[in-house]
Amino acid sequence: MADTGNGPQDSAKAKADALALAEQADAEAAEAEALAAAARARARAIKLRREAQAKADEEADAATADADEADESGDETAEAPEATETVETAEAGEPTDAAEPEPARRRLRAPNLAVALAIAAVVAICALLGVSGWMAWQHHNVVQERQRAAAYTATARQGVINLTSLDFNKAKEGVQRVLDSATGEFKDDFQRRAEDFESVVKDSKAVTEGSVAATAVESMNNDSAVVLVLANERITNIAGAKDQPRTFRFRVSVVHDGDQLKLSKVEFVL
Amino acid sequence: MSADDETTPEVEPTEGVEIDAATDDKEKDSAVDETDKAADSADSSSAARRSLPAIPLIPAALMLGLLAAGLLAGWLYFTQYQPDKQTDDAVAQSVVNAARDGTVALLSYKPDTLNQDFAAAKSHLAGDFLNYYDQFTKEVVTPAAQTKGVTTTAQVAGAAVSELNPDKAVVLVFINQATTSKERPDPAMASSSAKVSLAKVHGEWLITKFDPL
Repeated sequence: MADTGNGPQDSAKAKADALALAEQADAEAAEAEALAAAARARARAIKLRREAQAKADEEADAATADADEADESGDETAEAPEATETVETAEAGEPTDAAEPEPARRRLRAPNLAVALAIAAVVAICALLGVSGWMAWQHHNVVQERQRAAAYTATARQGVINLTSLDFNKAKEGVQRVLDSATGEFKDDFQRRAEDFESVVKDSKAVTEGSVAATAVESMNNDSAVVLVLANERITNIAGAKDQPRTFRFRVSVVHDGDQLKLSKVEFVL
Repeated sequence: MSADDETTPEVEPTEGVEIDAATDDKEKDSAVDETDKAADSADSSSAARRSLPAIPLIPAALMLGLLAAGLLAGWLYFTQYQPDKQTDDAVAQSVVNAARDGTVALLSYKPDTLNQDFAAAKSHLAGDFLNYYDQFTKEVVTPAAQTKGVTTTAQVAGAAVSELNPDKAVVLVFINQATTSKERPDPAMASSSAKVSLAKVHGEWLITKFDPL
């Protein structure tokens, strides 16, 4: 109600208020502007400070660099004599290095020759020992072969003596002796005729005494041999023979029968 | 080109100078080295004198080993290997063949060719037996063979080595002989055996003895 009553006043007041508001707004704007300016100024100040700092650092670096440069140049001048010295010592050192290998080479060459001679000697010794071993082995084989030949010969000799030495009083034993020293073909053959043989010896009252006059190995291999045997026999019998000499030429084959040597074949050489 | 030629000789003297300088340096250094070496050699010689018995030990051992190995090999060769080789199967075979051929030649003759037959036989003989055979055939066999017309042919039924040494051997020979004469035209067969001794004469096995058994 009052509003209506104070209409002009109200309008004036409103005007004033509006003005005040406007002024306030202006002021606020100004304040904001001021704040912004201040902020800008601060930022600028910071920026400036930074730049200043950077510049100062640069300058400081430059100064230290200058100082370093100055130092370096000073070092260079200081080092220059040293460098020449090292070069000189290097040059001086080289000839000594070059001179040193000479006696070293001389020292090396002598041991090389000695080592080569030693190796040659060792090789020669080994070769000679190898050859010696081989020759000894060969001789061992030859000796073994001779022993084998002797064994075959002894067997053939004893077999032929058994065959040519029979007594009618001991005919069975005589025949058995022959069979004991026989094997293979000869044993089969003799066994087949053993009874006839025995009776012939008994009937003729024969006493024969055989001896071997000569033997020779005709051929031989690892487990058999063929031996030529020349046997002389003296026979006494009922037909009138009294120590009558007879000569037989045998070709006897001797073989291994188990761990024994036996006659496998006995033939007359006609 | 000429500029190069000119410049190169200029370089050479300087190089030469440098080389000279270098050699000078080397000489100096070598002189220094020599003095060093003298000192070294003095040291090393005294060291060598100290270890003198140690240094030739290996060479001496090697030389001794070489000598011993050589002596062993030589001894084995001359006492075992060579005799074995001289009495091996091949030699035995050649000895047997010599005995066979000699025996056949010795005991085979015809009245028409007596001189050739005996001459051939004598080429298989040596020593005293050669003289004996020569004399015997001339004085006994030739007259008898000529007057009686004796022809004899020998065959070897078997032969094998009984003894074998490098320079002599004994061969057992089984002989079959067929003999004919004017009186007995039918061949008379005779079998005999002999120990034939042979000797190696100038690399050839020749009969030196003929022992009938």
